Amino acid sequence: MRSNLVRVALATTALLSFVMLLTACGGDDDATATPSASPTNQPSTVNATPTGPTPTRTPVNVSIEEEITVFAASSLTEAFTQIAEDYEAAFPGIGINVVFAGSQQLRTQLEQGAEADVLATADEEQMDLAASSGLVSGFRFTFARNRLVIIVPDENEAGLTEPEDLAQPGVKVVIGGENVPVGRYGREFLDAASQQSDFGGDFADAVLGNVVSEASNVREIVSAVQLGEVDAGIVYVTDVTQSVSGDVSTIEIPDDLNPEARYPIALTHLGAPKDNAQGFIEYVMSEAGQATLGLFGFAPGVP
Amino acid sequence: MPPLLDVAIRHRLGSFTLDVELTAPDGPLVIIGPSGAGKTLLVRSLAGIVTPDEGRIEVNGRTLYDSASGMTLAPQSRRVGYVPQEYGLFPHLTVRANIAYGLRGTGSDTARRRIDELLELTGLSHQEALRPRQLSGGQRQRVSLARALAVQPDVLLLDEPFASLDVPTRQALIDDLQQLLSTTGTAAIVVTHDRNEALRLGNYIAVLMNGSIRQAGSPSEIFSSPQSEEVAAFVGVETILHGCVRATEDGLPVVEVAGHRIEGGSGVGTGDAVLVCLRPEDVTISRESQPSSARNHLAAVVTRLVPAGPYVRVEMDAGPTLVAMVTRHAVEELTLAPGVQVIASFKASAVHLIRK
Amino acid sequence: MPEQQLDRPEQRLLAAAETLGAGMAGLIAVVFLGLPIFAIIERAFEKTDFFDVISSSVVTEALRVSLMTTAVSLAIIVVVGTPLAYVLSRYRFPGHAVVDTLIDLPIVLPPAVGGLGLLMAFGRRGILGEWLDDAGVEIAFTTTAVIMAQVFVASPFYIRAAKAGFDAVDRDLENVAYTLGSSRSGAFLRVAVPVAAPSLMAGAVMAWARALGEFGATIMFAGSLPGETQTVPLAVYRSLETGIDVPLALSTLLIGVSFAVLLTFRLLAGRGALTL
Repeated sequence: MRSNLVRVALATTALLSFVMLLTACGGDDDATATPSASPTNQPSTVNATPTGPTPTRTPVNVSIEEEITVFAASSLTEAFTQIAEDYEAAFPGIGINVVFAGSQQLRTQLEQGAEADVLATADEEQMDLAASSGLVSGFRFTFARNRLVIIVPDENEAGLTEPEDLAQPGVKVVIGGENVPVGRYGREFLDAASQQSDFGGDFADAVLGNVVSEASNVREIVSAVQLGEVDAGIVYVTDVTQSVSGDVSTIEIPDDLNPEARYPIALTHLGAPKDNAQGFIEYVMSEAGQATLGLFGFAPGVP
Repeated sequence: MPPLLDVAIRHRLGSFTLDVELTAPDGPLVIIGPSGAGKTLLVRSLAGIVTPDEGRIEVNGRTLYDSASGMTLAPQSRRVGYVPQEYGLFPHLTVRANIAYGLRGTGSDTARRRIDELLELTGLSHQEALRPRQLSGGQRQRVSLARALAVQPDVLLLDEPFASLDVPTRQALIDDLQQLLSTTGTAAIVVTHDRNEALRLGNYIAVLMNGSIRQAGSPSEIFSSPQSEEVAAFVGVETILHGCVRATEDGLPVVEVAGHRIEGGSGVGTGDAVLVCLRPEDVTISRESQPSSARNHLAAVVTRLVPAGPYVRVEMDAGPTLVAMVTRHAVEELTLAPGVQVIASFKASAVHLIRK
Repeated sequence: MPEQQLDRPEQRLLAAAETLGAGMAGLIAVVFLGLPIFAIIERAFEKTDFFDVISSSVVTEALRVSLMTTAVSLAIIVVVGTPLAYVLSRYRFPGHAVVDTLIDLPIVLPPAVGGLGLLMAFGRRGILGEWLDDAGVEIAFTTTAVIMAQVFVASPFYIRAAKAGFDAVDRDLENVAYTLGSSRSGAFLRVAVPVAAPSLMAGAVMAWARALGEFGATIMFAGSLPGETQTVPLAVYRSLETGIDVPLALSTLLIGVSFAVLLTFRLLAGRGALTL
């Protein structure tokens, strides 16, 4: 009796899985594919308190009529979280889902088929690459600008006080990878500095020799410096948020050496861009959006 | 000459207590007992694998363990040759390498000669390159022996060396073992449950039951004169009757057993309560009363016939139960069958009495 | 008799369904497990200039870092883990259960948690790391850190297998060895290890595989620097941001190397098993 029960169970399982397989193949495949998980791909939960005008929050049980997915560079975490909240408050029924990661990661995920409605990167280069892959529509807006700063752990055991100190032997530095916007800008700064006599011609090489890790996004760099595991990191000025400022100190980079980071935003080319995607971009470019970005330390997109 | 073994140990293992006191003058010593008696535990204590809770172990006058002075020799230093029940051959080594295992430090020439010698002695010269799994049970046993002998131990400890072998192999190997022991002059302590092995191998026998030694002595003492009902049953006495000594006639005790009168035995006085022990081989059966040299005749009814190879075990009811072992031929001749009335006879000399 | 209660036709239908079920299960398994591997190799040769890419520095350096670190990690795991597994198998001591559970922990914890733990323990501000840093010993963000991360996540696989292997070795073999004059370590090396060898080999393979694929703990504790700490998994992840050709080439190489190593182990173990 028992053996027959087993046989029946086996056969039933087989048939069930066969049926499931058939339905899976024929099912819809337009479920919004959330981009593949990378360690820092979660929407940041950091809540910097802005002191600007805050629209009243709409009741939570308003039905969402449309959802917009925004891919934004990691350095935009706090600013865009706030902007998304503001936008949802102003336009009830619209849900804004923001995904933060290194700009190059976002572009790659789009290439691999992830779906988003808006792309906001930390440099033109990644946007150019996205455009040449046919991923974004032709028209883009520069919505913010940024500058670099050197951060060191609060204790600053290595005793760094000036940018030149980065080249000192034994100093541990973390910068972005070559394809990461903040890494590219950082290398621009190093090369520019090497032209100056204060720094010396081998400044860039010395600093690069001190690099112990290349990060995929700014938040990794901030984290490493916060933990005290490294002596210095090159990040954006906007990355020194309230929650971070207690753990790190900054060393300024002279203006003439500090590259200006330009942040472009564009619609992703999805055949039929959603109305509210365009609306979101317009909001970012509006007074309200720009004011919010300013609160978090960004310079306005248009000077 | 110091005794081969002088041991007095106590050891608790869960709910089992081993409490052994034994002095064996010379070997081969065979410790015999049913399964669960503590034989393996005893062997392991002698080998040094198990340290008893308390006691003393001396082999050939050399102290291996003495809890009183806190002294325990590690197995490495005991100079004992341990042959476990499953032979414990190293599966990853050849026969030769197995035998050579303990000879690590010895010079290569000496070692080689000794191994060759042992291979010849145990008849394994042709098998030296084989692995244990390619050997028969008997061959494995011989490798295990050779390996133990290679380091020239003071004494061999063999745990049920013939248990997993078939009867013909067993017979041959018992002879071989005796030969081997006398050729190499090695003392041996053998542990077994088999009475035949004990009889053939043993010079001194100790009966171990439920953790303690019940009786120790020469083979004939143990087998012909068991001193307790338990030992008697274990050594093959199948008829044990309860009775009382009524009188002594012609120097022979007369025992009353359930209305029957039995003459025989020794060492008891009138009025003693005794156990009458009879080996089945000593009981003969006839259909009618016949004059014979046997002094004891009991009327009985056959209750059961159990074939045992060329023999048949006949159980009879004479009030108490009697057991006889007769040939199949005899059964046919006498037309024995359950329910048949017979006379069971046995000599006075076959009677062994144990005072209760 | 229960068996005879089913009619003939029913039984035949049942048998057919069973065969179908087993076949389906097998097919699903092969496709699910095999297709991704095959797809990588096929795409690698179709879409990239394979032999050009594999000679690029990103690929060669990642491969070198991975092979070197996993080799060292495996050596450490085997040298330290084998005696440990033996002690766990043969001896009961106070705290045995604690040690046993501790060894299993890295398997259960997410690698990122492991990485965080290593950082908190051995990082510059770590419990032990602080002292080491004062003494001039740097661990985090070095190749040493990569090895430590690998050892942390992979050693449980080896120790478990080794312990099971030793458990299966008859203790009487070691007892006999003792009476023949072997010390405890002598019996360990000459009897226990050779007899348990197949299990040890299998455990080593599993541990090596785990170390090779390690990502989460490595990226947290060792960071990612080409030529020093960027292992193949890290390199695949990073280079995916630039394009698909380097990841494809790297992955194909890794599949090839892994296959070769696993095959070698299997052949060695197979031969070893035959001689026992």
